[in-house]
Amino acid sequence: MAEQPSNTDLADRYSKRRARLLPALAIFFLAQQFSYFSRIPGERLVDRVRIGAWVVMSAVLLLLLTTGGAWIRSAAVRVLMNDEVTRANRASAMQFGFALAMGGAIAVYPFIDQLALNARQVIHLIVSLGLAAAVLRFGMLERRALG
Amino acid sequence: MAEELRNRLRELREARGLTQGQLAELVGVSRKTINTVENGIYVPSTVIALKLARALDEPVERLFSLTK
Repeated sequence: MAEQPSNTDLADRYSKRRARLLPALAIFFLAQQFSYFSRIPGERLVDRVRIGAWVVMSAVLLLLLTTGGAWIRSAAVRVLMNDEVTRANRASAMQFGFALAMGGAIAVYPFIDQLALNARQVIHLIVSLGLAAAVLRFGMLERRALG
Repeated sequence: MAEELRNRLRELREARGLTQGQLAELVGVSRKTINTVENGIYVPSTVIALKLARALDEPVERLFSLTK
């Protein structure tokens, strides 16, 4: 019978998977935003679906970033996956995302009238920027940590 | 000039014939923590530093030192 992998092995395996997945998700999310802003949704059903999809994707990314994911794994494995190095990486990533979101908001603020963006679009822009930056940085820091 | 934290974790781990994964298991951290500490990417908390010293049966000062 094959030997059961230890919690450390499992945490390592899932951490590697997470470190590969997060940057890919962040890039996919950013690519979606280019499509959103190239054809800003109106009031049709298909536009509501696009807005709903953004809400779901943003919420999932935020949950992945704040909790570290692997929700169906055991508590012991999740603790190892979110040990102090990961918590430090997450803090650094969130700081980066926050700075970028604030920078984006400050940059957009004087041009709101020229850009003709409504409140939803401004929120969409700032949240997307901050979230994608934080998730991307978290994934990259985790990849570096895993060696 | 700022002081720099040096560690001998890799050297002491390898002297005991342990892999990063085995040391991680002994300490109760992830292999990622061992890897980042060994490579100087991450400075561990006092708790982790003491656990590492205990797992390697060495005083913590032998594991970590400050150099100019």
